[in-house]
Amino acid sequence: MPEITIWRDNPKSYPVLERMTLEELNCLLGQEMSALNSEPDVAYMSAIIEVMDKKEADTADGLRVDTEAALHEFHEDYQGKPSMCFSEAACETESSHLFQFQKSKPRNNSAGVRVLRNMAAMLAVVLILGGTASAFGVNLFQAVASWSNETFHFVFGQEQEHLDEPQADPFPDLRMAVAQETDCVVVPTYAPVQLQLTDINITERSDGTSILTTYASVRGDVTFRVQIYDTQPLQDSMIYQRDMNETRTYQVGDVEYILMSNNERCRAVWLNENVECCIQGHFTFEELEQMIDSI
Amino acid sequence: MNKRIRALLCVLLSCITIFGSLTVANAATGGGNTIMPLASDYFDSTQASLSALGSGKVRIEIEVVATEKMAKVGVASIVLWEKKPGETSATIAKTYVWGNTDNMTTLNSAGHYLKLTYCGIAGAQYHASVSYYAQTYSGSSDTLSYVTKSVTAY
Repeated sequence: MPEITIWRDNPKSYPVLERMTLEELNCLLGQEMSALNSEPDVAYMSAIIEVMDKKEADTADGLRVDTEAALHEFHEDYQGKPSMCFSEAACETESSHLFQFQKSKPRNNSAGVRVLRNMAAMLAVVLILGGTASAFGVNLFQAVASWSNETFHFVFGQEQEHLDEPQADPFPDLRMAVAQETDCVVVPTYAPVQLQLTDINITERSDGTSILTTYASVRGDVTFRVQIYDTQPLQDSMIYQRDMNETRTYQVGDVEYILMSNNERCRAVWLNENVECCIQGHFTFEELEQMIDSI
Repeated sequence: MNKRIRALLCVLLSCITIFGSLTVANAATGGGNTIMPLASDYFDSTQASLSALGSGKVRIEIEVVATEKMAKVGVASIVLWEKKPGETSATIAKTYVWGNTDNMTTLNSAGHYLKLTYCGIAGAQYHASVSYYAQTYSGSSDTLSYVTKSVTAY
């Protein structure tokens, strides 16, 4: 029986056998060996064995992966180091393993660089704008932080549902403070939104007492100032800032309430006997009238 | 070639951004043509008055109420003008600023009240130029000027 190595050293072509799969060749070899009636064809069997060996060798080559090289390249890509391959062709020839991965690598790198470049450009523009605004006395970053603080709030539980709802008797502290100075009733018992007292200042003036309360609400701060004069004020009363919009008067009983707007805020001012009151915030005139009606 | 065009565009865009910012900032600060606003996002109401107390003393009383709680609110400066008997024009008698006067401002409040007494000359006329001040938590601030009526000390 001839050595298989001889066949390997002198490879021949067996087109019919080479088209068959390993299983078919194995089956064919088995049939040839089990053919008891006739003498086995050694040359034919050797040919089958040679083709099977060749196919097994090809299959083994196809499955073999250079794991060390693949690991090395993975580290290079993962850490963002530049690849040793300077051209796509070089990459293809140097590494048959992970061929598809290497082909797509240059595209990923260029996309990453593009994103980084865009981010750097945006950062530069933001810094330039911030620097310019800062040069003119406007702290842009702090303004953004303040806007975020005013816009976004953490509200827990069921409170969130009720913050924008009307509140009954929102000024109990102010009412108590005013009651200690005068019997005149000037404090409303209704507010269109929930108000939370944040500050109360009682000042003894030369001409009376001034009570200034500040409230926080979902619409921003609300201030309510009540001044109780010792005598009826004749001059030098408060000067109120207002915009070009028309003022509106709202008469309830003997008291005339003056409604005016100051940019985005609206205000109601009235004088009841010797008590001057002013409430202002992000209200509408109609809401102010509702508050006045509740006095 | 493409890179050169791209670089040129980047430089052009940067220049537009910088000069645009400068223009906006200039416009915001007045740019020489200041428009006095009628309304204020900072001040709700103000009050300043002088009253004669006798013995030549003059009391200055100021109250300022902001539209909301401020980081700092109060008075930036008070210039007290004096016109002595027989004189035709007033001169500055006293200037009150943050550096030389306490309690000119309040922190974290929506209002401020200030009362000062000046020992003047009986028979002299006084009036004050007041500059109110309010600064928000974002750091932006505004001032508002007012001149009081005159009062004659006795």
